[in-house]
Order: sequence, then C-alpha cells, then structure tokens
Amino acid sequence: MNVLIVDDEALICRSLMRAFESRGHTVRTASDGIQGLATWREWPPDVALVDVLMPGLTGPQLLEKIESANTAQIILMSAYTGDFDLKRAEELGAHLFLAKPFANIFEVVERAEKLVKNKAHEG
Amino acid sequence: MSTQRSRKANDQDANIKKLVKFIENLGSARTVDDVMVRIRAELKNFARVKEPILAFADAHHRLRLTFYQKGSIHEKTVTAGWSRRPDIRFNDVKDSQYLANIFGRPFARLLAIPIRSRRRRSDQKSKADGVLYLEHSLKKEEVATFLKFIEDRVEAMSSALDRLFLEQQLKDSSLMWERTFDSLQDPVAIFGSDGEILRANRAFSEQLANLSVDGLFDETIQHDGREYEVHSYPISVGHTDRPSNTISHYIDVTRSTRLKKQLMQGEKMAALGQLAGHIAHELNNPLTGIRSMAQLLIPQAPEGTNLKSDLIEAEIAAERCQKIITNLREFSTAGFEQKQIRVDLNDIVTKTLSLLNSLTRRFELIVELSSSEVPIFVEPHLTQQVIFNIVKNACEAMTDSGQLVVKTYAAKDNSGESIAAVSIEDSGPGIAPELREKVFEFFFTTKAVGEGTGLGLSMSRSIVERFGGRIEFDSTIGKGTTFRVLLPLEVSE
Repeated sequence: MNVLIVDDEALICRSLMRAFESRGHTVRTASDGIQGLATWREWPPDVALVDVLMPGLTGPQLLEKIESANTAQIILMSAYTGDFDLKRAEELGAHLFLAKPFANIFEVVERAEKLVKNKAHEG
Repeated sequence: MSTQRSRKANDQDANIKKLVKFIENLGSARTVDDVMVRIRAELKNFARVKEPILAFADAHHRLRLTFYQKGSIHEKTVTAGWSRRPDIRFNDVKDSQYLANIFGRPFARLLAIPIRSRRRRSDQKSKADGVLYLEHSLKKEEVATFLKFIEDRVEAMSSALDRLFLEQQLKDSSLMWERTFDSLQDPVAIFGSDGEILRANRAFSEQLANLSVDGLFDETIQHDGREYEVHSYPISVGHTDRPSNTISHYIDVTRSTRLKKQLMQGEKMAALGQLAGHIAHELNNPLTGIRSMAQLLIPQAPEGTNLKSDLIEAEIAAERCQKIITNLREFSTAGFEQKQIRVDLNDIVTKTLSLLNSLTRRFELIVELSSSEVPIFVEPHLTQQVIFNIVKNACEAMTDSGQLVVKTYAAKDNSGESIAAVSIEDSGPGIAPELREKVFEFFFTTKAVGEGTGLGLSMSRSIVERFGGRIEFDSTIGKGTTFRVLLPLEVSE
C-alpha cells in the first residue's frame, strides 16, 4: 500500500518510513503540513499518518483542506493527550488516533495495515 | 435699737454659716441619694415642711423622681409630666394633680421650686431641669422666710447635681473607651516615651504579655506560633499636642501569611508544572524517534553480536526516558486543571487502598481510620496519587512478608495548627542514614534500573506542599519506615 507520513520530527518520519518499507510498502514523507498537502494531492495515499502539532499548517488544518474525494485512511498522531482524543480525531475525519510515544513501531504498521484492509473489505 | 440690729446681724451670720456648711456637705455628695439626705437634714428645722420629692433628668436622659418613703429613699422613673416652668409655684393645682397621679394620694399644699442647671446654654435657661417638691403646712407669715431659706439651698443643689451629672458622663465615657479598647481582637498597647507600657488591651495581655519589651517594636513579630505585623503611630496622651507616646497595633497575619505562602507555592508549582510539560513534549518527539529507530534496527542486527545487544540496551534506555517523560507530563497536567475541594481524608485513603489490593494482599494490612471525618482542602485525584505512591513504595520495600499499617487522624502540630494526617508504616529494612537526605530529590531511587523513575516522592512532596502540607518520615534500620502526610485540617465554616 501507499503510505504518506507527515511529521516535523525527522527521526519519526525516518523510522516510520523504514518500518513500513520493511513490510514492502511504498512510503513518502513530508516534514510540514503544506508539503504534506501538496504531496497528498499529487500522490493520493492509501493511508496517511499525520502529526497534530506542526509548524505552518497543523494536522487538523491539513485534514480540513483535503478534498472530500479523498479516500485515504487517516491516522492522527500526537504527543499531547490532554484535550486531543479519538472523538476529536473522528470529528476531523481521522479513522484512528495514536498517542506518542509508540510502544512499538511495528504495531503502528500493523494497525495501519488493518485499517486499509478493513476498508477494502467494506468497499 | 442697736441690740435689735446686732441680733439681726447675728442671725444673718448664723444663717450664712449654716448655708456654707450645707454647701460644704453637698461637696462630698457622690450620688443623688446623698443630695437628698443632705437637703432632708436641712429641712428638719422646719416642722411644717415634709420630706422632699426631687424630679430631674439624669445623665442618661431618664426622668427620675427621688423621694422618701417610710424613712428610706426610693426612686421612680417617670415618663413625662413634671412641669418645667421656671417659676416658683405655691399650691399650684397642676403640681398637686401631677404628684397625686404618681403617688395615688392627694397633695393639698405643695411648694414647687425649679432647679436650673448651669450646663444649659443661656438661651435655654427658660426651662427648669428639675423640680424640688415640698409638701407643707406653712403659715402665711412663715412662707417668705422659708422661701429665702430654700432658694439658697436649691441653688447649691443645682451645682451639686450638675457635678454628679458630669461625673457620671465621664464614668460612662471612660467605660465605653475601656470596653471598646478591650473588645479589639488584635493586641493594642500604648507605650510611654521610655518604652514602658502605659496601657494595653485584653488581647495584648492574653497574647503578647510574655514577650520581652525589645521584641515589641519590630516590624513583624513571631510569638507562640502566631505572626503579627506591627503598626506603630506617635500619639499624645498628655496635655500637650507634641506626640510623646506610641500606640502599637499588632495585626495577626498568621493565617494570611500561611495562605500567601500556599498561594506562592501553588503558583511556583504551576509554573514548574508548565515548564515540565513543555520540556516533556519537546523531548518526547525525538525520543519516540530514537526508540522507534532502535526497534527497527534490532531485528536487522545479526544474532549474538555486540551490535544487537547494544541496540537492545539503547532501546531500553529510551523506554526509561519515555517513562520519566510520562510521569513529568502527568505532574504537569493532572490536577492543575482540577479545583481544590473539601474532602474527607478517610475517603481518599479508602479509595487508594482499594486500588492497591494486588500489592497489599501479600502483607498483613492494618487500617486504622479516624472515627470522625478528617476534612482537608485538596485536589482529590492528586492526593490519591501521593498516598498511592507512598503505599506502593512501602510494599516494594518489604520483600515477601511484613506488616503495613495505615492510619488517619487529626492532631495539632508544634505551632498549635490543626492538621490532618495519614501515616503509612512498613516493616521493611528501613532507609539507610546516608540516603535519608536524598529521599525527596528528583530522580532519586533505590529501585533497580527500569523499575522506578525516582519521580514519585519528589512529586508527592511538591503536590502536598502545594496544598499547604508536608511529608515527613522516620526510619529505623531493620525495623521499618513510617511516612506521614500532613495537611491543614479544613475547619468547618
């Protein structure tokens, strides 16, 4: 599957990319919301992992700008668990909310794969 | 002729002497009754004049009638009625009727002599301030002599009554001032020019009398567990306007100082908490990256190589960092959004212990809660965390078996403040003397690597201090440790 990772933390982008690639997926990354939006439009992914707090365009702002024609499964990631939760994420159109830090990076890959698989079954 | 004249002169002299004696006697009168006794004695020379009845307004503006009945002096308070006409009245019907109404018997012949006070302003001298009523059976030829006699005496009585009136006013004024002074809750004292105490109120003698004089002139005073702000002002209590004395007002600021300290501590903790939160977040992202990368690389490293084991160690270290950050974030966010409320410490302890059943069941658990409510003013979730942390530490200090005793109680501390306390006593190995100073330090832990972050007790202390309390402990090697969480007891309004 095609995976888009949008996060301003380079090491997180890199490690997620390696994890997804190790499972045979194609990955593109973006280090901020504006770049992420451009890449998304040009290369619609099957699943997008988007950080909430980024400089410029934040994760939620990015999701608002993505056209309704978008079909990707969206995973929102955040280190802040204070006022951000699954409900808020769902309101923004996300299908999953993951709190950082991840206990295990491979679990992130598995959950993304499951999301895409479930969607394919529904379709 | 000259004998007649000299007899007359002698009589006049004798009368004057009697009058002077009467005036002197009046000078020693202390009450209205005394005045009555003296005028009655004067009237004994006149067989046809009965005992006097005096009507006047006293220092408290009450209308009073003072009279003799069966040989002793009585008093009636009258609502109104005695005539304030300024003239002397001889057998006036209205006067007779007035007294008849009061005493319930007729008064056939009555002499009414007005009494005028010197206190009155000259424009008000048309009214009498009192009346001396005299029931009589004087013959016509006796009236003039008697009138001359009684007018002189009434004039003297008027001065005496004035004096008594002023003395009473002074007494009342002094009493009011004393009562006001004593009713002040804060200690107040007046000092002379040499620093000696001239006057002090009751609060001063109850609270500060033991303090040495030198200590009384500082800007703040701490005495007997209380703190006072001292405000001193120069005053003059003598006859000059030049201030020669000092009045000092000791304002008890114990409670407000404590509240201020709590507030400052709370603000400090809030600021620290915010800082901790920011640092935690800033560190979290790169740390997540490091740990994730290590997790990625571990499967790629060949088995049995140093590379693999090194990567595993790196991942464990990163995980430990994340735990510390999680704790810091909890410290920074949890509870600071919650309000402090009045809760029963017994309830908090009960709830906390129920969460620790899996840990405490290995030991003999003795719980002695206070039979009455132990109210405190705290954020309950954070307080629960503190007790949870201490009980958990106690359980982890004991290896396989042991005794855990948890008690709650209310008490007074050394400064007399009411406190609420929970004590947690274990029968573990105790805390080594060289480690006791470090117990509350951030990141200090005696647990194995990866087992504890060393944040528990340091954060617990910060939380408790924020609520105005403190954490203490005693420890004996080989016997165990007792931790006590002390918080201000919330007094009911």
